[in-house]
Amino acid sequence: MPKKCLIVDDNPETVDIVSFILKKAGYEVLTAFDGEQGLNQAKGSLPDLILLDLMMPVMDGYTMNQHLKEDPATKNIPVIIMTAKGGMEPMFENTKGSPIQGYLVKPFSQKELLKRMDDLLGKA
Amino acid sequence: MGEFIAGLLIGLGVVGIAGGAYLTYLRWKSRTGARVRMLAKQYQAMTDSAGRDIPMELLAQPEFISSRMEFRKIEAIEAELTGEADRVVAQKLLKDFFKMDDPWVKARAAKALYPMDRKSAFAELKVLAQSNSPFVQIPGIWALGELGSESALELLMSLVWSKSPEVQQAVIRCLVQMETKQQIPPEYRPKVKRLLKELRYKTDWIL
Repeated sequence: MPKKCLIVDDNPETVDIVSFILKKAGYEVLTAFDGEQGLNQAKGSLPDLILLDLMMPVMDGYTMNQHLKEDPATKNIPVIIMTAKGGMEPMFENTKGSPIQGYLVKPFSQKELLKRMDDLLGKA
Repeated sequence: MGEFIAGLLIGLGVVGIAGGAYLTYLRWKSRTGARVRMLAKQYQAMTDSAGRDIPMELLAQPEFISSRMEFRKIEAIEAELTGEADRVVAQKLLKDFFKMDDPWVKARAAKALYPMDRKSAFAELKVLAQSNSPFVQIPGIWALGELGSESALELLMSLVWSKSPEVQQAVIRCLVQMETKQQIPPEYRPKVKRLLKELRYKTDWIL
């Protein structure tokens, strides 16, 4: 049974490329283009992992993450932040009960992404 | 008798001059001491903010501890010497950092100098960014990204296809951050957008 991954990013090209990479690596992929869509997808599909951009329209990644952790159904889904802005990790470290499991500053390599995901999901 | 009086007057004159010089020295010492104490206090207060613009993963490395001390000095110059009259002093002090070996210190000083002397600051950053060593290039690239000017953007774009993955990653990071912060001048936006699109499809980077 393939692991399910939700990609939430407002850049369609990034979503397109990351989807391609993950599908090739054997993941089932779900996509969303803003925090609100992402939250609905997460609640409806309960993915095994979420790749979350921070700067997005409608609802940003930080707020989406807050909503995820408030819901018992989604609070334990691991989240990897993908962002252009470095140095924001402390914002998430100080959030009690935050499910943030990783932080990738753009640009990052495909290899780095897959390794981080495999480590989290125990695919090795 | 006359000789005695003349000798006494000369002696008193010498003592007077020496005393005056000593008093002037004490006054200067006290002022300098106060200035040094004030700067030390500022450095202390800046501990948390020093080098705040440098990527955290780099600052965490031990070799950056000495650089951070220099960053504090540069920040103190930026914070303290802001008046029109101080600008000449600030420029001189900042240019002195260009003589140091550490490329991060040079880049940080150039970033601070840029608002006062664009030409010298950009020239220094150009040398760093076009060096043969990624170790030297990366700080220059970081500072160019912080400037966000048209000339900085042109130089960054010329380095984007570097054979060094570290340099390419640093350049792309600057471009992505400039785009996110909407720092790219309007006439350059389509060009940068095209370049980022090309990078997404032609390289292994996810951005």
